[in-house]
Amino acid sequence: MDVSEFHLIAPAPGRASGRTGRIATVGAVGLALSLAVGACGGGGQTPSPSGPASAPASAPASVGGSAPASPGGSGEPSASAAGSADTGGSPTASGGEGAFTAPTENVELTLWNPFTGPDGNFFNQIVEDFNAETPTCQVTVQTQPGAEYIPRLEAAMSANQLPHVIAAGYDALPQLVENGIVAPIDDFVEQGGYGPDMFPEAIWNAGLWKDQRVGIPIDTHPMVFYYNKALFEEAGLDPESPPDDQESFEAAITAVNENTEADGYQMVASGPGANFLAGIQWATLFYQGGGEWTNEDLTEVTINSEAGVQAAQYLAHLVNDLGVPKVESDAEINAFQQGQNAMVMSGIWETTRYSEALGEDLGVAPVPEIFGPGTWGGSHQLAVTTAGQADPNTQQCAYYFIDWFSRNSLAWGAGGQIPARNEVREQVAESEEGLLPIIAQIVPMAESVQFLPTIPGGGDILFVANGAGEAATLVINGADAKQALDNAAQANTQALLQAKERYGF
Amino acid sequence: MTSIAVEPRRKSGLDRLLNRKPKAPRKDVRRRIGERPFTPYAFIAPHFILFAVFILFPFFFGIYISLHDWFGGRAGPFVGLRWYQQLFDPESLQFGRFWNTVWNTVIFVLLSTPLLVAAGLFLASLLNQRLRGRNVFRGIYFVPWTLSVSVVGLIWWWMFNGNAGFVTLLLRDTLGSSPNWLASNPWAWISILVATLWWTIGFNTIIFLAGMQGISADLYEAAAVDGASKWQQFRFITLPSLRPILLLVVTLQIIASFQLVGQPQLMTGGGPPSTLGGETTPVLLHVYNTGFQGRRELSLAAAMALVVAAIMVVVSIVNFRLFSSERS
Repeated sequence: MDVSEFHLIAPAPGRASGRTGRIATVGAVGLALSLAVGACGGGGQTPSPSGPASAPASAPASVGGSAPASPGGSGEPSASAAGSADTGGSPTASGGEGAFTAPTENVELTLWNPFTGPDGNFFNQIVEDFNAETPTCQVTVQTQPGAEYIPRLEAAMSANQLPHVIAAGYDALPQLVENGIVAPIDDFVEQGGYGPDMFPEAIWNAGLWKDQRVGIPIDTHPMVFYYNKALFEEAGLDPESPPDDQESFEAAITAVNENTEADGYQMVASGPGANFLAGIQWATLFYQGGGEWTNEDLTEVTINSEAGVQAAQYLAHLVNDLGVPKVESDAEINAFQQGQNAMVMSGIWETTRYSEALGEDLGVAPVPEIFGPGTWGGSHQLAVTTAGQADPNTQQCAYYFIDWFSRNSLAWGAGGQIPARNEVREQVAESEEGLLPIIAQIVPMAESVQFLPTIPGGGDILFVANGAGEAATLVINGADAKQALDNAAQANTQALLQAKERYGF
Repeated sequence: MTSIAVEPRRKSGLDRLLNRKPKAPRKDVRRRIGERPFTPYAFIAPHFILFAVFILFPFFFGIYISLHDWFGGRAGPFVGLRWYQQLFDPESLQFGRFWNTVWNTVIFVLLSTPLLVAAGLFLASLLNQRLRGRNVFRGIYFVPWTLSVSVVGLIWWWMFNGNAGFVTLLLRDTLGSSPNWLASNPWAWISILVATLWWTIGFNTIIFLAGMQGISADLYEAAAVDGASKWQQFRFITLPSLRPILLLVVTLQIIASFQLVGQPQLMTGGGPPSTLGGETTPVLLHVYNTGFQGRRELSLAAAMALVVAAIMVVVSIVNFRLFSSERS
């Protein structure tokens, strides 16, 4: 599951109190039932029929086969985003010519993604353009709810109905590889000439598991600094120069608190999304202070380092010394939309919401460097499943598609993400499409974004019970920073050692 | 739920037929026309198949999983009682969080059961009178019960949240200040209780109402003739007549309250935060998070669920004993 969606999608609620009508044992057994159903991945949710994708195996098509070759050249992609007027021109591939070719025989691919929001339309548009251009390689997109994404993949695997290509958060990939769902694609990297020079290093490395390439990054979605320009003006601040360090950030909080009715900043301290929202703020400060999640050989979780303690203490400092009110999760987001909160640090996926609420008053900037450069972020990656590797034609089509998508990921950025690929990111400033004008202001963040370890359960060090996010929330509520992080580190070290033993890394 | 025998003493012909004890086969009435040896099983089969598939098998499968090491969507090796040991070992990392959530759940059961039973009884008494629009009121009280927990959770989150919650704003406007409903105790528990009361009270009310309508009007008439007050009629006629219903409702309510998950999940997120994972995190939410979130420790979650199941069985037995000993 993509970590960015943890707090956006309420997990499927179990039957809660009140739905009575069972006797004691039945009720008790019901628990076991729900566990077991999840366990065997019961085939309740089968993906729509996706027949065996291709014709009999044949040698990969030679270069310059009958498939319509991409015209090459470096024109702008005409892949028009959903909603925007279609230019009417025939779609053209762009971003340079790829090293891959479409298969000569007709292949149909199924692709799963978790993009249930407006970004899903942008994704679909890219695929439509791809399909229009590549008659021999046709991709069908199926969007699955993020909260059930991984279980559904597992169910699809048991039912022999796996899609051929998936988009997933980088943190989900190691587990998917270990469970035989995602296949490593080192040959893709070799064939396509992909490498760390094409992406920011951290983003590129996030797709590695056990020294194998398991995902090709299409974007990063970092935490972003949003501010209300009207409130800045009212507070006597320059709306065009957002705070960029600790001093200016704290000065802005004080100025807004003193000169307006609104809050300068609000700190999430409780509620369903608290561990996530406080967690990504803590992680950003942790990165800024030079924090590392684990030691070199992955035997110890080191969130209780000086950087970790300093990060947690800073969040508490905002509450204790600068009059930042503690609020429930999402209250800070709502208050920002209503103009009652001048600054907020949220995931980039909130951009549409804020933009609609504040219009011209919305200011967007990289996160202030409180302790230095560094930002929490996620990254969606495209991966090939074991079903996609079964047949050479299918694999060729999958590789061709992934490469095409990567080269044309500017249109994906229009949906509100920072494109991962360097050459595509350079084009962001030139485009007016979708959210790209806003994205253009934070594009440099792609260079400072950092990631959790790409290991099974890597994201849990920050997000789940006993994680750093929970510790940060406790510290915001008054707990001792060192003590809280020591506890979290101890629990996570134990889990890490267990994972090491289970997965052998 | 639909077939509640209010007066078990008066048996109808159908009852007699159904309760017929199997006696030694008499030659003349061995079988009715068309009956075969498998006929009774055929009648049982539809329910038994569903029961077996959805309850019996998963129950034993759950036990099986709890004795293995299943995680991250994968099957794993047999580990014996490892998970149970961890749950009962005060030194383990699981211990504090698990029993904290059990304790949270017990608190909720103790708070909610008397409230929901008493309120259901009260509402049923009101609705059992001859008042105009009686059916409309019955409908009104029952309607929330048809909602899903996500709807209920969101509605009450919007009532109580600290930023723009209706109750919060109302209190601020009238009294000048409002408690931080979802972020501090006891307010967080009160919010969850109110949401649960609003949501589920209709069920208990309907059951009590059905019970009350089965009580013979003669009894009340006779009592009235003897000069019994309304309260005395309630105390000495309604309550004793409802005893079997009361047992049912209390038992079901305890079980239902033990199954609390959605309201705290959606309203408080299990908070206010505490070092043991939240002050309103119920045990089944902890089980869900353990088994289906993050590392997905399915075996550990299965062991937790079975411990909870054992607790519920014990509570139910005690409950039955309590009611039946009162009778004798």
